[in-house]
Amino acid sequence: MRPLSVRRRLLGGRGGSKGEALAFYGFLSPWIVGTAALTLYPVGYAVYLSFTGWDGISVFKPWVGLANYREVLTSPDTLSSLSKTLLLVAIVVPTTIIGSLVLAILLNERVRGRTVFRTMIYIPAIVPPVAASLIWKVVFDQDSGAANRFLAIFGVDAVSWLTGNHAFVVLIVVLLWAVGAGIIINLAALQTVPADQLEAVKLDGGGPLTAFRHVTLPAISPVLLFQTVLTTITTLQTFVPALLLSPIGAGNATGTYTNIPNANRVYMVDVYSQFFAYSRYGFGSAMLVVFFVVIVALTVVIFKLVGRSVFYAVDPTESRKG
Amino acid sequence: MQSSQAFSRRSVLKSTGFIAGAAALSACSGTSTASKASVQAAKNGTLTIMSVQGEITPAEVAAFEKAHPGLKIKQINSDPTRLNAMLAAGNPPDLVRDAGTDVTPYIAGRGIALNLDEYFAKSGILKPADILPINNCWKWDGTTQGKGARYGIAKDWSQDAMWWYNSDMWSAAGLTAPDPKTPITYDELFEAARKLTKTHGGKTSVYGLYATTPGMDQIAAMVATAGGRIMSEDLGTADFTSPEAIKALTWLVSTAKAKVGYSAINPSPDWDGPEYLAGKQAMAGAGYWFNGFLASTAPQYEDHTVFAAAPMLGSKRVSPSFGAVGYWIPAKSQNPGGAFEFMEWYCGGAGAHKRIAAGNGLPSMKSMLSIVPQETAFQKASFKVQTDELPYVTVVPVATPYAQTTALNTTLAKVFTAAVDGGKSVPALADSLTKEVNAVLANGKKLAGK
Amino acid sequence: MASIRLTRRPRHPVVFGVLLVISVLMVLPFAELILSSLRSANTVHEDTWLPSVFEWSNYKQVVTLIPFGRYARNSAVLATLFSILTTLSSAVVGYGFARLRGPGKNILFGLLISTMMVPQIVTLIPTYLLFAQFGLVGTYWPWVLWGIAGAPYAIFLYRQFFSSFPKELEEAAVIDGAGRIRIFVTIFLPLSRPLLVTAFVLAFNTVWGDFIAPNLLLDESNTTLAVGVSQGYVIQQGFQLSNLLAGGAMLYLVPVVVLFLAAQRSYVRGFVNSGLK
Repeated sequence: MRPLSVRRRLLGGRGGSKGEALAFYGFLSPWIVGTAALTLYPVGYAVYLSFTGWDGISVFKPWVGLANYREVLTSPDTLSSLSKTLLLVAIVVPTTIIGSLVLAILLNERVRGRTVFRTMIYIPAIVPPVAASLIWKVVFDQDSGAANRFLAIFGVDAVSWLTGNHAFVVLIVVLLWAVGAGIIINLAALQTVPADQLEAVKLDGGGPLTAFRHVTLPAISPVLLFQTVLTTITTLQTFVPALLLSPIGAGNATGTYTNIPNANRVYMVDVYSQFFAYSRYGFGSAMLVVFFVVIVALTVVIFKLVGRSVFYAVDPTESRKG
Repeated sequence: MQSSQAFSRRSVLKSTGFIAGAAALSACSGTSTASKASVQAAKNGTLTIMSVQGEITPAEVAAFEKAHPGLKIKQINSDPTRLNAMLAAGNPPDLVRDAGTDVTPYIAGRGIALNLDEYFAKSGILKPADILPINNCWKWDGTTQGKGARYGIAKDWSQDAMWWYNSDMWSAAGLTAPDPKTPITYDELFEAARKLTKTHGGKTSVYGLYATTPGMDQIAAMVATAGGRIMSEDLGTADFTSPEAIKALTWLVSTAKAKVGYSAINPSPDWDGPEYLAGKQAMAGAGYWFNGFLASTAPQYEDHTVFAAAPMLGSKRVSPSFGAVGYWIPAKSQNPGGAFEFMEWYCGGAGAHKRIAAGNGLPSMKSMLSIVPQETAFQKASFKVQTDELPYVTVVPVATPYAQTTALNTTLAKVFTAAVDGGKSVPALADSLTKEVNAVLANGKKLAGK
Repeated sequence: MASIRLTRRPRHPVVFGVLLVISVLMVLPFAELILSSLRSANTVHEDTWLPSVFEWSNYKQVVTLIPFGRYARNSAVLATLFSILTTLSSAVVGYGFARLRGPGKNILFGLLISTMMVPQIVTLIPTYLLFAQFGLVGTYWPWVLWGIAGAPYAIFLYRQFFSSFPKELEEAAVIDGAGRIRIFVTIFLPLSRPLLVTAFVLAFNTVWGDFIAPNLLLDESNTTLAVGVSQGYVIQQGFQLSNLLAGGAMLYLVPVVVLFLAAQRSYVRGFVNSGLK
């Protein structure tokens, strides 16, 4: 047993001792100050703008009350972009989570060349979006892309990949290409699966599926939940690939809002075009505030559905664990 | 150094600097036009120029700084977010690159841009009497683009509804090459494009037509040749349901559906230049500046490339510019005198000389027309066509103080592709376009208190 | 690749086969980019598997048409600066969240998680206004400040990692009279080496890949490779050169791939250690 005084210094009373609280805030201070100035202030500014009809440059920011919010919630454009975004999430998130789990399990097998496979599968995840979108635009070009050349081998006619609903498929491909990020996290999680329990299942005559269901899955479920939340957040915010995949024809590689195919007008595309094509800074800000609420709500729903909070799973400063 | 045919067509870079708006507040109050700025002498120091990367070359920067020892150029990339932020912070760039045809009503009406009348009046280089009429698109009097004070000037320009064709491909397809100086009709152009297009297995190896987009510039220019217009007199509403507009939309929809050229529903992986040079397009939609592109990139194409007058939908010869890309000076520039010196140098002085002499577009100054290259047979022929076309330049109303042209083009592209993909009829498309574009304009007017 | 000896029978032929197919599919798109970068300006969109002519000289243009070296150096400086600061700062904050208690901790942790959900666009204009106010536009100071503020995701990883150690680790030091800072620096920081690498690589990739912030805050002379590559490959008339753009994008990728390969072991271990629970 430790001396009581040490326990006290380490754990303090409820909420910690004065000294510890001071240390706590000391350690957090860079982040607290930084977040206040570089995140909270801008967010507050956006919330303020959402009640105005600001056009982006006037000194005058006309107060419009809740008008922007009313429009966000009733505009068919917003609702359609929101539903496209939710469709994207519904496709990309499960595919990414299941795909990265399956691949991680395969890559966890003692297979020849495993390290090379891991690297090859992971590399797309570190490709910056500017380059990634460029690559896929080349691959999916209708008249000169590899995708259609491949189809031609089987006598299939060329598909116009970058337009209409096909563009949505390409967007999904680009997002799934980065599945490696999840694989690494899953691989890490798989290392924490208790080997003795897996062994026990085997001894009881259970197959690999039983072991997966009763040992592996429970052990890595917090990681899967964490990933689900993170992937959902990032997928909801999909913007750069949609912009960069748009046919630009001329000019720079950074794209233009004008030519983004309708199928890829997801929520953030809508927000960006409200800001930068339509100069509706107030309305765009209201869209963002609504979106933020949707993201938080979805996150909460995911937590409630899974029924367990990952983030509080381990906390040595909780006294029950001391 | 591009004038902006393809840019404008696809509305890519030309309005990147322009911020535009839903709410053209002061513009709509009628008292909009900023009063003339009295001329300020250039101050020594840094000139911040917002332009597209790679356009003002290091050599040009050095040449300018050598000629103006007190001034240093700092370049930042065109970016609407940044321009807005800079304006909001009260430290805008000293010069902003933009398309005069698109931005003038807004920047002038809002008082964001400096009224340059006094500067032009006193300029020894950009003398108003010497400025070609195309630069009227940089004028705004509070209600009409083309009248009133000057807010900027083109660095170079072209009549962007004009086009170029590969005469070898035309003869190979058994077609008689059209007379370059007599405008052909859009229907004839479509017919020819059909015969020039080659497809196989869902892929197209040759597109007969140049790339088209349902952009304001292109539609308004087509409609103007039939004597109509899209924007109302007060620039507050748009109408795509007039017989002329229906005719233009029908052409755009049919050519897109027939896949005789790249279009909004069949986008090009690149701009017309490389596609034309690769033999993938039998025509390139571009103004005079394409001459300089061929000279510097593929001179071997000159003997079978012909420059032709802008096609016509009806019987009125109109050949506008889709850009007149140049520079304007923000009202809050810290050094308007220095900025104007750059404008003089780059748009009418030594800085413009080399660009114009290389055939990259037409000069803003009448007196510089003489240095447009006329050495080779190709250059002579192109210049002849251009000279004949010159009288037909006009400001076709596209820009409005109530919304950014990009906003209108975004709406057009969205509605157009949805309609064509969804098999909507042209009249139905025209109705949706009118409704949607007017909603954008109405929103701008509402915020402006009109 | 050298380590795959196809002649020897893998222990799980099916798994091996599946992984082989997927791995190849994952990296094949790069081949398209490389091949595009070797085509000539006028045949860049030709419909062939291999270029009709291999224009190796494209790469010379790629590095000379824009000041490639300067932009690459700018990116490297900026990414390194930010990554070092944010790696350390996130460790400090993560330690605070993991091992210390204070009033409002749960609220602050909730705030940390919610900041991950804030889209970048929200911050663009006000951030510019803020930096303009202090004359920091056109400088690298914003990245210093962002670095010091820490990155939510990294802070979260550190918190998970530091939480996994037993109390005893600190107790002995506390008995010795060591302060919190000393405990952090001498005990926890050295333990977290793999995670430091992970956080560094993540941060480096973020800055290297970011186009929006440098475009908003830097000038043509001190901007990054992401901006330079995506906007710089244009002809005299202002139009994009697709083949050079592909080449530029290829070269732009190399540093992040090399960094990842070099750091791969520690990088993966960082995730293993954090446990992410």
